[in-house]
Amino acid sequence: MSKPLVEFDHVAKRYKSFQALEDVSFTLNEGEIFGYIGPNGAGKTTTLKLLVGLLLDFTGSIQVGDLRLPLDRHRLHKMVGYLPQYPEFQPWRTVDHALMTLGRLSDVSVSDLKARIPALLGRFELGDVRHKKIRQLSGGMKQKVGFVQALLHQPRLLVLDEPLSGLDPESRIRLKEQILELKAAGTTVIFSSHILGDVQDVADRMGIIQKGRILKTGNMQELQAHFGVAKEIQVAYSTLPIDFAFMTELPAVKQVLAKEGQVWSLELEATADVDSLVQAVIWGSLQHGATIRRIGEVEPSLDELYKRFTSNPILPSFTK
Amino acid sequence: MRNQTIGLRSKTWLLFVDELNGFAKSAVMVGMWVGMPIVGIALYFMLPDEMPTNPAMAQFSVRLPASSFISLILSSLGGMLAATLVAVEIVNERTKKVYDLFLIRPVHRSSFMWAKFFAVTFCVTIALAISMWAGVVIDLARGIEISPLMRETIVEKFISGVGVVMISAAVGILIGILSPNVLTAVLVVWFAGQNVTLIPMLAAFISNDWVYTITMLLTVVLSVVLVGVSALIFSRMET
Repeated sequence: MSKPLVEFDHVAKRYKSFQALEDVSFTLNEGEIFGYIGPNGAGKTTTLKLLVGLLLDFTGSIQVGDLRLPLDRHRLHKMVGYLPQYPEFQPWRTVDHALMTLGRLSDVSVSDLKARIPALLGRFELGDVRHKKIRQLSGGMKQKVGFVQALLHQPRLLVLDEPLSGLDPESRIRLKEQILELKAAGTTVIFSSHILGDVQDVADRMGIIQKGRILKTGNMQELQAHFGVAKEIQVAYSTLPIDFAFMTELPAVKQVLAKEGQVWSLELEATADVDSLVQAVIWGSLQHGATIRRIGEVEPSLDELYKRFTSNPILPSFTK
Repeated sequence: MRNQTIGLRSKTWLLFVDELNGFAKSAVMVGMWVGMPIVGIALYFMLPDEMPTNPAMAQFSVRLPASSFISLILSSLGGMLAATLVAVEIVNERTKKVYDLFLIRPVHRSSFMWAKFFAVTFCVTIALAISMWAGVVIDLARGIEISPLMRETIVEKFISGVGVVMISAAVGILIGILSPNVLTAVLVVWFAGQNVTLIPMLAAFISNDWVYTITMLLTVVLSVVLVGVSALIFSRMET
């Protein structure tokens, strides 16, 4: 296996009396998208600021490629793009002027910037605001300009702090597509988010942080396995069966739950044969006078997994 | 890779030009270049036309040249303006996290401080020069002959005025870096920071060439040290 691009090793960070991060260890592989999830104040922004060299004082070790932080941060800045949670620009600048200055400081030539800036702005439907003053932009537009500035120098590592917050649904979709395109082009991306569905949509792996500690990292399957998350069948009825008892009598069914609408959920044992059980549920339902609109196996969403993590924060296995 | 590395000096220059751009676009530059001469001229015309040089000899009076008056008044006003302007700007940009997008780029943090120092010094110096020229024009219009000695005095006062602006800008940068908010920065600049400007002000009052040279040299060295210290603090600062 190739060496990870980013390695956090037992990193701790303290702000005066507040321990923001404690014993944080995780890795980021080259070319992957890593979603970083956690409640407000969990330490997501602190982690990302440490990674981009904005915070300098910490214990443990942070390595990006061959570079060690904070010592090599000047070299790191050539390869990293960063979008802060609330990107701020000097209000007297126009969008174009802000991007030109930031691009020049990232060692991009003027001729390249003249080509890249309109192209990137166009991709986010910001072509019209190119010559507008920053103070005239809405919060969402500023966020998108913030994203553009992070891409100007075509960074190898992209660090995004809540990139989707404050965006309308269409912009969120576009930005997620952009993140996936960047991944396809070989860029490594780490981003934090509160919107778990968005993380699930784009992230290859995820890290869950709470109270300054990483609870678990892994892909969806690994997170499911870690929690022993059961398989699940969901049935949506047009007409409900007269009796539901047959469901609980099926082999390998652990629990039957009524969900919203006329949807029922069967939680299965890990060894359950899903195909046979789907057949059995259809047969049983028909026998009990029901008509089925939809049936199939569902995977628990990241929201459900996250709830499980954060509702059991004291389990020893969560606290590495 | 198509990106080329731009040298430290070029980036400081880029930031310097950028700062000037900021002053120009936020109307600070026009305010200074037009406002300062107007204030100087207005204050001059508020003075009585003839002033006693000695209370014991009230009959004996001289006409004060506008160039001398304006250079004297505006060098301290320019210093105050430079220090306040740069301190407020740094506190604002720091607290609003504007620097984050700059500091994650391959630029030495010291470049930001030097760019601000040179930009503020340049802007206020130009304002000072315009004001002094306005003074000279008024003198000529009022029939006051600009003798070689007077010309030399004007130049000396201008240089010491630039010294005041330099050291004030340097003090303003340090205060801006250390102050938690704008109010603190302004109060510290007005009530404490201005004491340092006494060094170049001395040069304006002492006619000894050696003292003048040493005072001005000390002003430059102290300004460089103050900006250097600010740069050092800024480079270790977490945002």
